[in-house]
Amino acid sequence: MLQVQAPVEPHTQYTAIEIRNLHCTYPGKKAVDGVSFAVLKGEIFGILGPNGAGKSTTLEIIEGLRTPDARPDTTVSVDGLDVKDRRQRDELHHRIGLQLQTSALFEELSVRENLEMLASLYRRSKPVEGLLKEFNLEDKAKSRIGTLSGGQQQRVALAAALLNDPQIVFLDEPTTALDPQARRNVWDSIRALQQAGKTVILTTHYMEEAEALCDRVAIMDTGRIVALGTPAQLIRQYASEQTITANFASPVYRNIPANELANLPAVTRTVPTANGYILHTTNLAEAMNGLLHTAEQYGAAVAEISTHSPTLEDVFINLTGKMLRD
Amino acid sequence: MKVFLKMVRLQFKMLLRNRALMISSLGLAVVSMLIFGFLFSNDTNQPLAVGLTDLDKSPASAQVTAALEKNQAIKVTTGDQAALVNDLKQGQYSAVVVLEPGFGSGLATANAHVQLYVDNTDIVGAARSRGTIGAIFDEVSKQSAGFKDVITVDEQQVTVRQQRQIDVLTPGMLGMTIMFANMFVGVALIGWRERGTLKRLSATPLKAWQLIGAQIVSQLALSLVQAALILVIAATVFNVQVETGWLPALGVLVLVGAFSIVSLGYVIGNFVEKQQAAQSTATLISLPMMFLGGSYFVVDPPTFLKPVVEILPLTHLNRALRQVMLNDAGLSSVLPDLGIMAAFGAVLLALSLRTFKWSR
Ligand SMILES: Nc1ncnc2c1ncn2[C@@H]1O[C@H](COP(=O)(O)OP(=O)(O)OP(=O)(O)O)[C@@H](O)[C@H]1O
Ligand SMILES: [Mg+2]
Repeated sequence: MLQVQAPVEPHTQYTAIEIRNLHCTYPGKKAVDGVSFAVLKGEIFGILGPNGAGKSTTLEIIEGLRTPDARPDTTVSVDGLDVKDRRQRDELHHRIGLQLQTSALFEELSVRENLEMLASLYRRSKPVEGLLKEFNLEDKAKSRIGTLSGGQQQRVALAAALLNDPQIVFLDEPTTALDPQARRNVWDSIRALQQAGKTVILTTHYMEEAEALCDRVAIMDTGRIVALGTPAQLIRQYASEQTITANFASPVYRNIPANELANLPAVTRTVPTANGYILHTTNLAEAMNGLLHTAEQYGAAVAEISTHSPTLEDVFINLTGKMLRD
Repeated sequence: MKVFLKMVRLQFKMLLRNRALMISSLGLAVVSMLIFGFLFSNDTNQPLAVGLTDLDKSPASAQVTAALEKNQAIKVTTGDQAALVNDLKQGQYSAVVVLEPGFGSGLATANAHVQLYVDNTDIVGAARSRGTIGAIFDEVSKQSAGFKDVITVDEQQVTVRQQRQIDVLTPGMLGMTIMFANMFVGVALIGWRERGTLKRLSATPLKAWQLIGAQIVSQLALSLVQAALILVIAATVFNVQVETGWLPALGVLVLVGAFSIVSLGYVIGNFVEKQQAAQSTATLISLPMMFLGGSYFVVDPPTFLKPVVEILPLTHLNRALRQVMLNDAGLSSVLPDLGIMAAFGAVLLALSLRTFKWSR
């Protein structure tokens, strides 16, 4: 049932990242099991998946921090560099910026000292003061990293990811642990990166984040990519059905024969609930008409009616049979 | 190079901010020196050994001599002035008393002179001698002249080159401080690895040798600072002789010794997974090494322990430091110790560089 899209043909002039047949096995655990995809230049690309799906492992391999299983058919190419070649990693690290899911900077040093230290490692770097301002960290510049809150540390990590003014930015769960306001601010920063022509690849657990931010999304589960496309494409392809939830005022509705509802035009399936039905449909208006008409026929007064349009969450549940966050 | 220097500066800053390390490594040495230097240096229950020369040879001086010999607080040995002062310099006496010619006749005119030689490096001993002997002469004054101070005590200070407990202890404490200041580098390293700091750094162009090199250089710099502090305390508080001519040799020994220990600390940092475990491992190695290496007293190990003692870098550090500070030895005569420490450090450092991991 799962059809994975073939990776975009590699044209380095359009492709920022290209991965083919990536495998990674930890002792006794296959974390990444044959992943292929390509990220276009200027794109915000999201990897969506539950805990343990292999998102961080995949990113870390692309970032040159982890060695994939040795296989001849594996390709990991970033900005035209072959990541599997150790000698090209130095150049890679000059060019990319990244934030790790669990990374602390030196706790014993202040925010500014940490950023200045990292900046000194690069050929070329942005002024630290500007980044402190951009991420609203000026008040905290002198504080030791160890004394910051989780969200503040996350902002420092984000600023650190941009120190070398990279063309490709990797963000592993950039908004986990942020309050809603801070999350919106990070979204704005990420969109600004795209405006500046940069490529962003990020992971997230949040559907609304993927829908709001990402040009394309790869849905990952147990080490594989189970679907890949724009959020709209994925919804159309894997969760085209909308639902109508109808609750009735009295048990009179039980007089309606169940198959009469199921046979309504555009209705694909009905699910009985405590006080009514859930109708799955491919055409909301048509199904709604039929439902109201039938109810009237049998004298069943509708107390409450609601509709639900599919989201990536439904795509995910349909594809994996799992909730994203459990 | 710019990167390297920046890293060294920041690493040094972090070391100085690590108060626990600063206090524990220096603290043990200072406390030990206080305990051994003050509490055990003078046994106040023993009578003071005092040398006595009677140059006057009058009935009055003979009377005073008899009074001194009868006194329970001192144990008098009579003899030739030059020989007694020489023995004082060797540490055989706490003080030497010389009754000057004309002492007896001077008693009547309140112009009797006594010379008192004391060891100016032994603050407590000198004070006791001064007090005890002064009291005896006061007594004599009272009896002969009725409450008039007729005897003048002229004090002569003598520098004793005797090896006191604190003199032998100081080089050992220096070595021990260097060990404790460097043994725990691995613990910090593991902390950075556990928190993902190293992984983050590995995503930059920073190279492992730059990080390790910077950490080693900052540890060496810290070791020099701590060694200087110990020497200053030893010289000012405990009157330990520290000659400026020794400083280059001491500097080299401190650097090479610190290098050997820091490499050992790095090995722990690479082979132990958890910070707590590394802390215990480092403690478990350093405590026996502190004693076997001869920090508190020079050890004479039984044959089966000899190889262990001889492989410990601290043994060689302490031995070489004592050679310089107690026997005035130059670097050339401690070359074997230097060589062993350097080789020990180089082998372990190579091992650390080969096994270095940015993340688990
Ligand atoms: N160092 C490791 N050693 C052994 N197994 C590991 C290691 N790191 C990750 N794994 C396992 O590999 C799998 C994938 O982990 P990964 O961190 O890539 O998942 P993830 O998608 O990033 O999850 P999360 O959303 O929780 O961050 C998990 O089952 C995890 O337990
Ligand atoms: Mg992850």
